[in-house]
Amino acid sequence: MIEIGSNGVGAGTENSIVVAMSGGVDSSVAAYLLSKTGAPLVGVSMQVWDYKKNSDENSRATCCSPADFCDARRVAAKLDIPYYVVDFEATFEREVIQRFIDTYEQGLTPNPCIDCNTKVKFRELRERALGFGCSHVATGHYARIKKSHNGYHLLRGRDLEKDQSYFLYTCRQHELEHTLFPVGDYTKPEIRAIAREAGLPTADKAESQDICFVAGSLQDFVTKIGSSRGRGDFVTKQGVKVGEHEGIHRFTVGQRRGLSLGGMAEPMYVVEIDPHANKVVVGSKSDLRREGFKVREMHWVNPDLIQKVAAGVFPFECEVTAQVRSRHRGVRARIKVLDESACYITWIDDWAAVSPGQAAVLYDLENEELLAGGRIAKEA
Amino acid sequence: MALYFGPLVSRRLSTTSGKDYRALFVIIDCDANATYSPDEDIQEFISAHWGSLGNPSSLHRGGQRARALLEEARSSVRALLGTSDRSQVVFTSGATEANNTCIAFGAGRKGRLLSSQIEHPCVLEPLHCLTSQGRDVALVAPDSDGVVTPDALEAFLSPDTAFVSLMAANNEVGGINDIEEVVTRVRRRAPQALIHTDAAQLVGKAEVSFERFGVDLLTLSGHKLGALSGVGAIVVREGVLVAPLLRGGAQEGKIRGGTENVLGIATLGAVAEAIRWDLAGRIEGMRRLRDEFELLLLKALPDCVINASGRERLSNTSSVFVPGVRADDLVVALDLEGILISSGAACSSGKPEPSHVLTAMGQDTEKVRSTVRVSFRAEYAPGALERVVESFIRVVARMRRITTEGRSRYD
Repeated sequence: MIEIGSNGVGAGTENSIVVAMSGGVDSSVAAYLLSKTGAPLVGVSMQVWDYKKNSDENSRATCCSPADFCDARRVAAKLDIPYYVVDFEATFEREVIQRFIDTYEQGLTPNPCIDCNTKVKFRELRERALGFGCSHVATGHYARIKKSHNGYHLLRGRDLEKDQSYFLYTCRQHELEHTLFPVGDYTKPEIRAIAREAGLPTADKAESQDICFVAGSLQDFVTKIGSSRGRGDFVTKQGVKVGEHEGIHRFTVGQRRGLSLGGMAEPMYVVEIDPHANKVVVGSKSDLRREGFKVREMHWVNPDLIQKVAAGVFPFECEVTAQVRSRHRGVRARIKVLDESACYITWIDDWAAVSPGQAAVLYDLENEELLAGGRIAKEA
Repeated sequence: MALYFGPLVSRRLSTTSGKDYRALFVIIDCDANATYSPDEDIQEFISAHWGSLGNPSSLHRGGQRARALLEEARSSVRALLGTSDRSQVVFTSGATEANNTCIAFGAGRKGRLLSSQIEHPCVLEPLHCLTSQGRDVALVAPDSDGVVTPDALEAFLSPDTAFVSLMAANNEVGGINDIEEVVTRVRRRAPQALIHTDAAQLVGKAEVSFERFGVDLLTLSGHKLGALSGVGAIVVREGVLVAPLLRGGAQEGKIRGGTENVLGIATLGAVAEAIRWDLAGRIEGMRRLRDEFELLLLKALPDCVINASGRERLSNTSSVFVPGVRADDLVVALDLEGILISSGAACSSGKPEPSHVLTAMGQDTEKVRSTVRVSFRAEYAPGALERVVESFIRVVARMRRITTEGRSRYD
């Protein structure tokens, strides 16, 4: 006789939830909090990357390695929910890794976490969850979803230190409707405390790093995985050669460290990357300042804004808080919406250096609700 | 001792998660080729012998009782396999150890080692290892039904062939190889060769006769028959002096060192006995379920393809290509419905790998990705098959609809 216990009872029926479990503390607590509500749950770990194949030292990268799946499996067993490792390698390779490399090749700054959320977590995982008969997907992201009379609103996580809404700006209304972020209402210390109290084996696990599939140095990874770029020149804005670099994929606009340019009068920053000439343009901090910049591939998240864009009367303007990097607090800016896929952003008082390719994510003036987001374009 | 093999269905009322969704949750296990999980009779059998057993090598009565159980099990396995008293039955920790032992023994001889591409990993991996050590190892390809024909195998035979290992039936697709005919050909073309068959999947699903096969070594697995896992056996022809893989004490005729897993082996003996008394009924029960399943499935989903359907194959196994559906997802979705099937073979890693069997059969990636295995037990509760078919059809339809909707929503 196979005794499966209550494990899985009700899962696969309407209103059951697939919870993405990386083996970290956040998604473990997400699963735990949901299990307390009595909702039917299915734990899923997403196999996105073959660490054995892609890592020299066979090191434990950051998350989603086989050891992490063991942790996820233990948490699932503790919560008495069914648990599966599901293969997403093909999609991840195509939509995240390849795009990551291509973006570097173009001299732009990639953001693989956003691509992963868009194409892997909130598209393919959702489809596969529906295939399992589950209507909702839950993750351990620090963000919140609020329902109003006209739709769903995406808010920053309550813990602003951990807030991950920036990576979620591609969420569509129908996705938000069927998504749960159970840890978004808590701070990280609270999450750890909950994990400890519940006796979850992942309670004291270390934080994961930024890019899950890179075990060692990011630049070495890009070099190894397929960048064909060789050495090139560092030049000033005036075109004077001031040194040599080991490939443009090693740099991002705004970067100061690792330039190894001695003898300059003031600290040097990367102000531009020219992939065609294989040049990295450097300058002073003030050279980074741009009065305005264009954002493409816009995703509209706030329901009112979605309606306004759908009305099709362009251009229109509004004031927002613009966040241009994951670790940026956001500053006030004016946006001019050019059409449904592009807008132009100008700073109001304060400013921030922008890296073409990075995401510009727009929040309301309270800097709490995420309104829209897109990719910073290279041209002005 | 009489054993009744009842239906494998677990009825259970959920009480843990409160009032929200108390439900009758019934598990229907259609993954018998992975493990034929022991019936309650085995639990009773174990309880009956619990605590009374010593080390079977001990002189005292505790040892004697254990030894008696071992020998009773040995004679039950002999009887099930139609083995003459002169052949030896050696118990191991499972088919993996049994097969490793046979291959290591075969590799002790000079000459070519011959096997097939669709063997279980516990045959293939030791052979790959020997290849990397410079041995001449040839692996015969199956035909498109996953059957290794005597002609295909014969083409690889030469007088210097030292060892031939061919599975009696394939675990994933269910194709049955003509071992008798293969043995005839090997004896003719390579009279020196030692012949082994891995019969882990055939035993209990067809009549298996060691003497009629004419092989030198036959291996089997306990948990594929309904015994506890951790038990296997090698049947050794008289005069074949197998060298031990595990060296230690003089247990198992000095072919396998280490204290025997007495209770596990005893369960193998018990199921062997039970199967022997009703083999025909058991096979017929499995075949009826399989045929009914395939008939109903194809009626509702005519684009599905049953692998090896025109061939002699395992009475309980349906290997089904379901176009447009990821096999692994179908396994998960059906598990959530309480129906246990598998995609290809059971894998120990947790991460599904593409099936080497289907690949060797020449199937493209899409077919490999979309093929599931349904392998029946001999008996189920009334209505179980109908529920399996109903769930299968409904889940496949749902998955196909979602793929289509997803495309139209995003593209």
